Amino acid sequence: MPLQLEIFLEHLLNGLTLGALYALVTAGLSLIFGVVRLVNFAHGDFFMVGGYALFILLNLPWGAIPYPIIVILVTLIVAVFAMLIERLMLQPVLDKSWRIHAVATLGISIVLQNVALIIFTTDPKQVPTPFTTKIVSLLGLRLSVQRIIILGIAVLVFLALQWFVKRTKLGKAMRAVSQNRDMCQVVGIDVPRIALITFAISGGLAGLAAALIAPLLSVTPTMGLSLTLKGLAAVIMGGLGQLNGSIYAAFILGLVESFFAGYVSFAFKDVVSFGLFILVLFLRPQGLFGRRIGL
Amino acid sequence: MSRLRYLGFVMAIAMVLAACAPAATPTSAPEATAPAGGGGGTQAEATEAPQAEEAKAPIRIGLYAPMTGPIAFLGEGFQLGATLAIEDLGGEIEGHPLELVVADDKCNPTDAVNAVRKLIEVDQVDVLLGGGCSSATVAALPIIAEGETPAVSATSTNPGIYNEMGVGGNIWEFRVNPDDLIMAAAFASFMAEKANSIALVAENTDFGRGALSAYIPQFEALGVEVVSEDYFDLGTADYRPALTGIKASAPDAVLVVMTERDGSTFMRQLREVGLDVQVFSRGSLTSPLFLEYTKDDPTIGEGILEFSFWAGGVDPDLDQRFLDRFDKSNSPHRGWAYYATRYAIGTAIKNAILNEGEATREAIRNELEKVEVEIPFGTIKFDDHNQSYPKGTVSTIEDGEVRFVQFVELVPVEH
Repeated sequence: MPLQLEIFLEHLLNGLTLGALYALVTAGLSLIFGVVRLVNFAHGDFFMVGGYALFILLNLPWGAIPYPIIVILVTLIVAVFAMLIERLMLQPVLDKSWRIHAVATLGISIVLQNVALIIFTTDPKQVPTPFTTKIVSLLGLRLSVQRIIILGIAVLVFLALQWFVKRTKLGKAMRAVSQNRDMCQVVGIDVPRIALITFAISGGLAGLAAALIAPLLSVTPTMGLSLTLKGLAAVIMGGLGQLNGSIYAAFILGLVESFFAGYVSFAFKDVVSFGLFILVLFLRPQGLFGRRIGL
Repeated sequence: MSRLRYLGFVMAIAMVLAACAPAATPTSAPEATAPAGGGGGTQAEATEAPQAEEAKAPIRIGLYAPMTGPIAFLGEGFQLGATLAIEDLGGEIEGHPLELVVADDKCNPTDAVNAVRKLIEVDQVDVLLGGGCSSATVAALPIIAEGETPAVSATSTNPGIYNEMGVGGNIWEFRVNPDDLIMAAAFASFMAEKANSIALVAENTDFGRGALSAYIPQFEALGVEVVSEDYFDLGTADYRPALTGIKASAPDAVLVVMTERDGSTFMRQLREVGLDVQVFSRGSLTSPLFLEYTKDDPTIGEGILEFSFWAGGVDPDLDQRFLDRFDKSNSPHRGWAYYATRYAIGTAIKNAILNEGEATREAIRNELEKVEVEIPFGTIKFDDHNQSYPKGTVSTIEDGEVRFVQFVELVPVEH
């Protein structure tokens, strides 16, 4: 294969894996906004909680658990954690204004980061899995098995979410709540329960993302921050509350960053991705795929 | 409320969240006063011995370094180094107990200014050590001059600091470590022997940019082709786009300017994309902490050639004492930096007391100018820019272990 074509394909592959990484974080953010109308600034901290859960489970004194089981456990732990946060801290303010939502989630984020600092200190924790150093090589393209897993699971998650919100009774209830919360209450849908389940799914997605992505990075109290920013940009670019749109936007961001960083400047890749975000806001304030609020 | 206003608010909050990120919770003791009697006793213990004869005023040494934030591990190591240095001096000089006061500069200019101002004005320190990072030191320079307090930096490598010190105007700042311009003159020649073309990757900080601005002219002068120049933010998750770009340029070598946390992620991904080139490093990739971060695959760092100063392995006895004292694998590597200031400051304080009767800030500064002392890394002696020229070091990772390779003589260069 000609070198330039190989490099192009490698940038494409990098962009897709980066997009998958953003998409896993974005999906949870978008779901929460779509159903509960809440921008969860603590979403990145759910991701961080998942990172530390992974660290603990990989270093249990009585021996390691197989990685696939750890992924499931981390997903469940963060799902339960998100439910607790919703029930104890956010449920009382869910019917309040967006300003209160913002302050509440911002406060939760700062508290979680500081608790993590106290417990785990700022020392980055490494969480390698058996797949991080296993490399697959095809036509000169090299990729770790961990990245292939991320890409594959991101696609599966995307398809599963589609099926869930469109085909299941619970998913339909979530869509209904996202479209008209008051009417749902009138017809007997248990809206607080739907909000709780949405938080569980969103937290589970953050936990799943952490269990898959953290092995490529290191775990620190602020690890979720930059991903949350990119996730928020993708949510808004895709159209607030548009689950599909935000996932497409996450992949667009990943691809733009990868090609720009590879061919133009690595230092300014964030300038370009956030520049693109601002451009979308100017040209299509409702987002690339936004027509209306709702799933 | 319009939808656009709402979106604007959301992103504004997101930016605030980003700005709040490196929260100020200490990992060790950011504002601690750490007096150093032998064995690291309490402040009371440190002052008891002199009290038996005549209570002499303590000499307060202020260290400003990153104690929280993404590179808090640097500050922790520096504190260990300063602590062991004071302990090795017996916790006192000429009967004056030594006290270490630590302030957190978070490795950023704003916090460095606050930390140094507090040390000078509130804690009334007699001499300053720090900062841990070039950005902090550059920001602290005017405060140090205004506060007329002698300060010794042992790790800031930004070349711009040289022109500020001594005859440059700030007579209070001294630097015992070489800067990147001094090191580049020697190390670029070393690299040119092994590579005709090179890709440069550095963290987007004063440290990273300062280093590359020093190396690029040297490479041009030596005929080494610079095929790419990339900068990354601290904590970057994915280096593959940059690495793929470097792969396309097919250089003979890569020079990376970064510390262990980012360096371990970068090196993992470098191996992942199959970039089979010589890796040179200016930062700290041949350290026990790097090995700890890559212990799942010790081959990740194999063959890296690191150019530095205060490298572990030069004085095995001292390395062992660090390990015995602190039980931290990385303590010799990090600790050496501010342990080294002992030779300059200890001598200056002692001479100030002997020659001028009292270790005032001015007396210590005057004696620092005259210091000439041999250390395992050569000689500490300041020129008219208050710059010292210890030997540079080359180290590597071989069979999963850090190995000291050789010293490199460093000489004054045009700044």
